[in-house]
Amino acid sequence: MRRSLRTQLVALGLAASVVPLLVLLLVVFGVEEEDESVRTGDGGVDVVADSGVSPWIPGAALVLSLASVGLVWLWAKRAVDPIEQMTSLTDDIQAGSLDRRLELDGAPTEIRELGASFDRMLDRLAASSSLERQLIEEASHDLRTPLAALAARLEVAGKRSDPDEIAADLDRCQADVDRLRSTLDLLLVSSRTRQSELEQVDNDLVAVVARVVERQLLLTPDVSIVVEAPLSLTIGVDGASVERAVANLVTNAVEHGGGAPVDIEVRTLNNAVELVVTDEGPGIDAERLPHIFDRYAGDHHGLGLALVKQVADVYGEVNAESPVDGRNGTRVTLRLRSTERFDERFGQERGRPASPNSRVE
Amino acid sequence: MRVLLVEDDDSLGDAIVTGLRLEALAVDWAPTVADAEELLVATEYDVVCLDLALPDGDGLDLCRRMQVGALRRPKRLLMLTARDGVADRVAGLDAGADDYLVKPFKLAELAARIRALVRRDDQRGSVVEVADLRVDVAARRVTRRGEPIALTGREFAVLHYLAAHAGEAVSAERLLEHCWDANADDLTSSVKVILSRVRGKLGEPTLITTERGVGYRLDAL
Repeated sequence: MRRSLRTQLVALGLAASVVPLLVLLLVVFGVEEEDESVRTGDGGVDVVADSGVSPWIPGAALVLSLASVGLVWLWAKRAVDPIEQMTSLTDDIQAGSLDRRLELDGAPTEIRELGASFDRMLDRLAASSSLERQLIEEASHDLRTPLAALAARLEVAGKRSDPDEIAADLDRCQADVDRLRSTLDLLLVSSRTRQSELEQVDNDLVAVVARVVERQLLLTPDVSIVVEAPLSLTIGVDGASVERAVANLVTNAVEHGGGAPVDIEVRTLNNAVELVVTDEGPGIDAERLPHIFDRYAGDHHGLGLALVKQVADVYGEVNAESPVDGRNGTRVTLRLRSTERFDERFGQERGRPASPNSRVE
Repeated sequence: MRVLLVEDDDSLGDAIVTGLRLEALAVDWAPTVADAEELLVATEYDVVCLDLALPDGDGLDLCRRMQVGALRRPKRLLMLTARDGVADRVAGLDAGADDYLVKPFKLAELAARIRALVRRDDQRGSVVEVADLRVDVAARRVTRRGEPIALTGREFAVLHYLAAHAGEAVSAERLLEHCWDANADDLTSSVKVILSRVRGKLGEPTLITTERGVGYRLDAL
């Protein structure tokens, strides 16, 4: 059977105060009796009228017992009350908002510390819940417009009869779906960076690039991608986020490269890893160049590059130059600094491209 | 009915304009506050559909300026927005919006709300009857003596406007302002041409009379 802490404390307190008292009384009465027998044996020389125990002793014992019961009760109450108070406060908080706090300033030190620790936990919970709410609100806001565009376009397509017009509408639906997907990617990475949930796990950046290039070549087999990289390059980053960023950079370069080869270089430089993606497309206007990583750059590609920026802000930096070495094109450099030391391995002949540094056509 | 859409998203704007034109509405599209102001100075729109978050300003500000400033005040204002909190709705309605639609929405609902807003002014239901002619605006259907009449979007828009102002002489300029959008540059479909086609399709006896120098009137004979 479970007993309450209060009962246990009272029982323990009584045992601690009344039992010694009882023992003391027993000892006292025992001694008195011994004394009497001794005296009787003497022939009752000085038979005293006040033979037996002093009446003060049971009286004092009674008063002491009552006092100790009272003290024990107070003691238990003082120990248990703050706990019960905490229980009712936490129940209130559970039922109501996370904004309330215990603030047990008058309580004993240990209880106050427990309360303070509980309050800190509530602070963290409230912060995390408000960040989550904010992220959900932003996500729903950002998804509404592309979703509205997709829904409206489908409705329009449903009313058409000309097959060419329907085909054009479907193409635009596809573009809207692509935009929804990039928006989702961006929201995911941005929520992970803001909630500090990016993991720092060893990832082979070269393998990441190889996977991205392979996928890109499936989609656009006509564009050649030239990769120059060491055999492997391990860096402590969040693999999924970095892979999305690399994929966006490569897709962007292919889409804006005008069909010319896209160049990818992975290298280490001053304790950082650099991923350089260069295309030979028409390039970017000087006035637009500083804004291409803005989230609301206006076009759909803005979202992809905004994701790159999100990841770069966590691990290092990203910048773009156009034109490249006086020629048409754009070069984006993503610089990643790992908190851990990265590990670089080259092929057998250092500096010479080895697999997967192959030229892929 | 002449509608101005103020929406910065290319894809959504294009889809809405296409969809509303299929509903026989004359639609102009402004992607920025500046473009919207330019159009609002020149034209009196029946309904303005306004997105709140615009690249060069806040839709709410534009909304307030339309109530007082040099811009020609549209008859009705409908807000389109991705913000759906109660506070946002209240702010929109307080700034002078007549109606509020949260993205994503059905184009059919947007068109229905636009028609409902226009009806608030002309005190007529969604079906206008003049003699034996029946114009069902919501269903976009015209019948005379129970016989359905097929009209193109522009023809329907003109007939709808005349029916909504039945008994009143409507000038060619007014028809141009309310039934043609800014991009309509097909000269073959001038007011005169469209009206003669509508007259032809409605048949005899003619319900649309021309008052020289004043305009056109749809009336029971």
